[in-house]
Amino acid sequence: MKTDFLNGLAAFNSAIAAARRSLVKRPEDSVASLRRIARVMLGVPAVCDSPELAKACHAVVGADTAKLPELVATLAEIATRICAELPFERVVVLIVDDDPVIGHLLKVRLKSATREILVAGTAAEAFEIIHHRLISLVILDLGLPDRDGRDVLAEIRLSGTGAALPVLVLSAVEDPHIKTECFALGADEYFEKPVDIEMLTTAVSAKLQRIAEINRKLGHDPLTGALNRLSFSEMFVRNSALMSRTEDSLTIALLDLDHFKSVNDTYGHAMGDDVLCRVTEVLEQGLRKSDSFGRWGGEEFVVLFPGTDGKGAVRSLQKIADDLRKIEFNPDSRKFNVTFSAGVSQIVPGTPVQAAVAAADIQLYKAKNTGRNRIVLQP
Amino acid sequence: MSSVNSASGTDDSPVDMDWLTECTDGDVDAMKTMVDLYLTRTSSLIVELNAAAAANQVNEVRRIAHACVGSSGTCGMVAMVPLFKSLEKMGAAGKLENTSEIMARVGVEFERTKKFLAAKALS
Repeated sequence: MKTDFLNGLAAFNSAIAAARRSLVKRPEDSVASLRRIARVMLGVPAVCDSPELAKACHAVVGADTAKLPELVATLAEIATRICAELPFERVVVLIVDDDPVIGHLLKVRLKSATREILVAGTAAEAFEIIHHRLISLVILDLGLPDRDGRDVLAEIRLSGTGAALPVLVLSAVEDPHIKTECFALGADEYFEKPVDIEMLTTAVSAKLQRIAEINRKLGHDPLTGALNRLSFSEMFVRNSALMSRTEDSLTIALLDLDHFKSVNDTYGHAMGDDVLCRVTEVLEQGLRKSDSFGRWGGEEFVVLFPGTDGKGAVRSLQKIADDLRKIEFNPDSRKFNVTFSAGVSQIVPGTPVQAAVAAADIQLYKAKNTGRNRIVLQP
Repeated sequence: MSSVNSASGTDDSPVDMDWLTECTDGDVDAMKTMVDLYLTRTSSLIVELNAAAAANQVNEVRRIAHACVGSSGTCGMVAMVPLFKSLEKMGAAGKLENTSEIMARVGVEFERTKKFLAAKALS
């Protein structure tokens, strides 16, 4: 959420910078652009959550033309500061271009606190990176020394992981047929060289924002906002590979809310939904940043503890269980508390996710059968 | 940022300084690094281009000239772009009869570009 908000802000910042630069040459257009950008920013919920930012946007929307430059400068300053202050997850942008001049220029202009920029000079280097890193966006030059960029684009699109990866094509060839072919192969944008850097950086920020928003919606449970089964499984594979390389511990836990059916039956499904959301909040607050969790289904949650052994995971879950038990649901009427049972299994990195969950499920079964409201660690 | 201008201030300037400044967002260090990379790479590409033209290697002339068009345009090196474009077209058409004249102009304009950038303390 924070990352797509930051990419969104970065896109707005780029557009503001471009409009500010044009203020002298094209004052009317630029003033209209700046007001439009501020108005659109006010439609972003995260902007409205920041009173300072929202106030600056309102000021720009309603400002006299004479005062506009000063107010826009303030808005840009606030947006830049927020970008720098917020915690974030970094996204990786891959530039594939054998021209070091363009590689350097794009690296300088695209680099930000939220992005890591990698440069590959050949198609072979690019695929080496794509196979080992989680890439969020590719900028691809068509004229590579070892392969035609169109072949590279086709291969990215045909690979399972690259099917939805945004690819922005750069080309010095002014040929509509090539441009059409690139779009047919799945290019998201096509920029002719010399590249308008302002346009390219804005397009990159906007694409990253949009893809993050789509991924968030596709990868999260719509009720609780927790990772869904698919996203959790992907997260599991990445963490498992990392722990395998670092020879570190990896522990998984499966949680099941106790007597959840009776919550639904007694208090209604809206209350049941509320309980699931509160459990998600407690997990978010109680787990470390490096841990991840998802809603496995129904009232089941799955938690992954990278770099943690079974005992460490049990300690962490015990604290979460205590925090959850303190919450009073339905405080105005028949109050109740919620507990969970959990099965914990320290697994060998590289174990398939289904097998890992199954191992935790065996312990969960024991927890349920020995009285619930307890955490059982695989011996 | 609009298209690369043929000149900045005067019509005869070999570098579009407005473009160069805008594309590096006014960061002088980034500008110097970019200029340095450009001059180093283009210098060796011109040597390769001369050799390819002399050997009548039309595809090589087209490929190298194409690469030079891209980086020259990106850096706002406006005096170089049309010359490399001509060479690219000649390579694509498979006709390299008149390349020596253009290659001579490439040498002259590249020296002029280098001097201009040195005078701006960018190289």
